[in-house]
Amino acid sequence: MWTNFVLVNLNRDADNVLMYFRFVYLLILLFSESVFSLPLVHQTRPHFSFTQVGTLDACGVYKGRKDSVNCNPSLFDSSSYEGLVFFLTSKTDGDSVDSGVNLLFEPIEEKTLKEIFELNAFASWDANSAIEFRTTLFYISYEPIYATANFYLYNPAFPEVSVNSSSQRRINFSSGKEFTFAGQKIAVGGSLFYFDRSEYVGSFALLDVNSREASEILEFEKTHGIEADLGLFYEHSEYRWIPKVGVVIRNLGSDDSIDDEAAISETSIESLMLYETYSKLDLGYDFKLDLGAVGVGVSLPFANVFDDFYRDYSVFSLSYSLWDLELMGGVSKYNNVLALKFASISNSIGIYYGKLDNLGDFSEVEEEYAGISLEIFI
Amino acid sequence: MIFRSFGLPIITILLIASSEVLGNERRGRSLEFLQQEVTKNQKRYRYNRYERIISGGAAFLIGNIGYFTTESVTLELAYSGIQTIGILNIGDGIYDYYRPTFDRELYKVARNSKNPNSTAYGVIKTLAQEEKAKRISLLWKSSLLSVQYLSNAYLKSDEESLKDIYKFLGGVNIIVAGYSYFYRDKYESFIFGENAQIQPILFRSNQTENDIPGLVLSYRF
Repeated sequence: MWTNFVLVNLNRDADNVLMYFRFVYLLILLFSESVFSLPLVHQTRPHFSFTQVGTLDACGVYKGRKDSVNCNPSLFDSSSYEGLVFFLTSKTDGDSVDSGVNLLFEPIEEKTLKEIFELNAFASWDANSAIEFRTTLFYISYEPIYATANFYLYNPAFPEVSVNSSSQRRINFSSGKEFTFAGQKIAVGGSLFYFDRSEYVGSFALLDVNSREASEILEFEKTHGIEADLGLFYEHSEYRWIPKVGVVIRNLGSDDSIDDEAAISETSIESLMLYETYSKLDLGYDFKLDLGAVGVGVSLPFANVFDDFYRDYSVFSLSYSLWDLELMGGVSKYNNVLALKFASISNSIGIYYGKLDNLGDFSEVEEEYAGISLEIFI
Repeated sequence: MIFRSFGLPIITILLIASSEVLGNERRGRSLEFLQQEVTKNQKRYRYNRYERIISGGAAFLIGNIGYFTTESVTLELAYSGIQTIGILNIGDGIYDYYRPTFDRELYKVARNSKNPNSTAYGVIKTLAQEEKAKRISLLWKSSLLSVQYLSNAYLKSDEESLKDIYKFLGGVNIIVAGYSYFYRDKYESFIFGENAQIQPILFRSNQTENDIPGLVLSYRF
């Protein structure tokens, strides 16, 4: 009887391992295909939570974290916490911080524009802050600063700078529900938000700064509206070889679209997966160890609602957590990040380091960045 | 009319009666309730008994490596925060290690209750263990924090204002460490005895007629 039991379990484990390897093989096949690839090259954006920063947003299946809902709203039911939280994250890599802040939050002056020409060939800054009221039924957050500023200097003989800069305020409502049947969990969730945004995408030369009014050169376009995020999550509790699956569609109802010409241009910066509608498929596993837990995830992004596959922006993420210590990393073709976060009952501090090829294959310009995040729980 | 006049007392009497019944019913189930709580709370950790101390130690280590190697002032502050969080987690881990499992200890006392003296001893011992765990946790936290802040002040900090803040925090933590080493509260003193004691007092100065605060340190050989 005992032998039979052991054999049955061994067979089941062998089946599970086999199925697991089959799945990994399928993933490798998927990644080796290049037919879905699009020649989009620029990607800079702030994120709404530290786990998103630390995994390059490949966290749609990471349940149970205090900021899981930002990764995928359908994780609300399994990962909601009560209370009030203040959140702040910002890149802290020197010059670009001052230039970014001055450009977005101070009156535009000639001095501000001239300072941009003193930056490195590529400089970027992004920041996000939020105050979130959390209940077990819903989250409501106000995000006073969600900002990004990117500068690319080209043509040294006749200096020109390409700028992609925006700031946004948002009021966001999130909720979700998980359903369990026959050992399977299916969760749905969503976020509805009102935004008020000002944005500038364009370029100007150093000569323009000397000959024209600063406020005429940089004219920010203002928009506002209501959009939504939608999330789905699937997990099979019994067959562990089946990966957890997360689906997230962001900015549903957005009027923004990618300017294809700018996206393949060597001199302009077009932000990808920022304000336009895009979607992603997340797959992943959790392993519980004697000392901590490991999470592995893959995120496959698509244009619009599962339209063209952005193969070059696929991300592989890894996370390790023990008590309130978390180590995370995200690897993609153009952006790699390593992040550490330590929490106590009332607050958490996170630090991240990364390396970004912001112009992708078009340039060897590489940016090394570092940033911090702070959370205060009440 | 009668109901209107006597409504309030009747409801009050009913409430008192029902609370009496509830009290008796709960009294009868107390031991069973404690036993259930003991089973529920047996495992206090997620992965490993020492996880909190280990994660705190890792934060302390990474915080120090980061603090003494980074050149950015912002990151220096962030790493300093991580050092502090690490030390606080180590202290909390030490508290978790020493503190009694309240439900289990009370259940043991209640189950073996035969004479009032041994019951009282059991209750006092549990409270004394709790006091000791809190004191030792505070002692470790403040000792490590004082060493950390003074190291930050004297080994690295270039900013004069930050250096002063670290020195101040280091000094405050030395006082807290000294206090938590010597001071024992009533239950801990009763069960574990006390070799040394520290107590705050006020002197009355004859010359200035002002009260002067001070500490009395006594040690029993």
